[in-house]
Amino acid sequence: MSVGKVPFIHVGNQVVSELGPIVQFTKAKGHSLSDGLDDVQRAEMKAYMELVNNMLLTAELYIQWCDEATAAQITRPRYSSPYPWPLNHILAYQKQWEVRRKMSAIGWAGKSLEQVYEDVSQCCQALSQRLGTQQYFFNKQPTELDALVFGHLFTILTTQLTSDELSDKIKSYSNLLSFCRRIEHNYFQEHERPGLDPLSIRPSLM
Amino acid sequence: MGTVHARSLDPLPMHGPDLGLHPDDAELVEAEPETKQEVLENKDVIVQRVHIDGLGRTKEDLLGYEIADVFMAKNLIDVMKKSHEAREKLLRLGIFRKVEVVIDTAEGEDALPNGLDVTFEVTELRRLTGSYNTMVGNNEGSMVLGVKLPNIFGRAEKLTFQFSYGTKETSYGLSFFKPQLGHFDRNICVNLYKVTGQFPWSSLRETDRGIATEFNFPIWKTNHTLKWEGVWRELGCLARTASFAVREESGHSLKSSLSHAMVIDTRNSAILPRRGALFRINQELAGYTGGDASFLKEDFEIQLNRRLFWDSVLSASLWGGMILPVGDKPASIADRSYINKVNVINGESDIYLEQFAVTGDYLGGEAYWAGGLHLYTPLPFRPGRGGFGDLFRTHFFLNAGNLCNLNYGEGPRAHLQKLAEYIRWSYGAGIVLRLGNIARLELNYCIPMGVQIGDRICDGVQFGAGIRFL
Repeated sequence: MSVGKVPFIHVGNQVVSELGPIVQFTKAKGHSLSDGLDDVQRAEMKAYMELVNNMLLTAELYIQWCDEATAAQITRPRYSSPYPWPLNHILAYQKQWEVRRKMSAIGWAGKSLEQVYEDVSQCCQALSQRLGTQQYFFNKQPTELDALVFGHLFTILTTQLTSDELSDKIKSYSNLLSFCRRIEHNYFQEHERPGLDPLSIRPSLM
Repeated sequence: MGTVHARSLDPLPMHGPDLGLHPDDAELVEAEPETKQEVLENKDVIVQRVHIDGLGRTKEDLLGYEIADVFMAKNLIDVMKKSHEAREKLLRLGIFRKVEVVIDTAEGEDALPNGLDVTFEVTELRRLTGSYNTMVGNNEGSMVLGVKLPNIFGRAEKLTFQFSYGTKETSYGLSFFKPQLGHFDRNICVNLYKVTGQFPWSSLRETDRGIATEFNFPIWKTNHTLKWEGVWRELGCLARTASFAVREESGHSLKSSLSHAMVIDTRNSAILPRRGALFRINQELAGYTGGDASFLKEDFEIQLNRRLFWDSVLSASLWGGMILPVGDKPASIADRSYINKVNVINGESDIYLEQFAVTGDYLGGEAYWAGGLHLYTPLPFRPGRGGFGDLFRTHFFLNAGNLCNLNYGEGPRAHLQKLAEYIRWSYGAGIVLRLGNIARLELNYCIPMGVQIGDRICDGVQFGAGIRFL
């Protein structure tokens, strides 16, 4: 597909990709999740979204591509699976080279895995503090920030890596874990077969 | 080279025993040396030696085959004919800039009275030639660098490299050619390339990186080519408004295919031939040697030319082909056929599959045919006759064609019927300019008839340039 990046939506004959443009698109159609927020809250929401993008997203990329064990065992085979030989090797190494170059550009190349886990932990701590005991980050209605945080945390919790350390870091913040389960239960469970709860099916999450 | 001068008397010796002057000797001294002229036409001769002067890096065993025939000549006319043929063969190798032939009487101790020496004086091409061009076209400017190494290992191998660096795309190609010793028509060619193409009618951009190995050989009067090609294709979208059907096709794919082509060409020229016929049939099988594109593709091309009254030529041609996907996946958009604009069916630009996507991208068809009838005449009133004017011709044409998708479950009869109904066709007239022996430019006025919904029509005045024309 040549849509750019996931997620994307296909509406009529238009294809819109990435969270920012999708939010803009739905706003133009008259729907927005953050309508009920005032300006201060909206600015705060943007700040947290930037935090998630800078920290969680980069950490995910780092762990997948820059950690040699994960890259060799999980990421490269997964990335190259649709392609025949020798294209699979060429494309996987090309993507790895690209991600590593990006990591050097933003200064993450020198970090070790422990430092990255520390950064993730700190980010989760900030999110956990903001969430507190509320149901969602702002009032009782979910906003774009909730969608973004859920997307990242759910992926981290349900993706199998070489070690469980990353998902353990998130699970250590219990309000984040229950936040994920709540959203997953409210918004995704009716589309799945009854009785199946991805968050509870994997024994490591219990 | 009609007569050969030969001296038949040797000069008087300068040193020797001083025998004193005798009256008989005095008479001898007075006699002047006479030159005799002999006309050697049709006299039996034997070619004793053939020399090749001017060789640098060329290996002699290569040339032995080309000049072998000269030894068979029996009389002078034959020698001249065979040397001329040998000269043509040496030039065809593509390693000499100039070849000159000198025929002389044989000299040396073992020289026969009717012996001849033939000498080929050759000038080799330089080891390395380069070229640098800039090109502007299609909203893109590019710089093209070419490097050619003829005869690199001494046996007529040729290595060429071309690199094009443009504002939008970069492409390059490396090619190695090696003929078989003694049989220049049998040769091997290995190509390494990266090319990019843009197809705005499908909102598609294609980048191909590939290796191709081909083996050419003649059998009797036909020329065969066996080729293995491995291509890494990357399809991308040109515009944000590309349709979803085209987006689904984009991404990476690998095609590894074996193909065979047979050509019988008796025309006197590839561009604007005056007589002769061409028959070409090509098949390609992909998927059995790796890669993920798998299909069987068949193409054929027939062209007949016949000279009519008053220096005009009637030319009829027919093209056709189909692609059969092997396995479950349908053929990729990069492999399907398109009947393209001015080059093929004048006036019927972009004839593609009827069901194109909502935004109007053409998806191509799996089977197609196209036919054309042309009448070429010299320009009216023949301006510039004998010179520049001969490069132009006027032509009147009638073109038709169609394409369709193949549905399994329907027999061949149903497909033939589908190809026969709703034919697109057009007719018109124009001027053709011949560019060397490679390409032609056309300026036409055409009237399309027989158009279907979804075709894009280009009627009126059109301009086109290309290599392959219907």
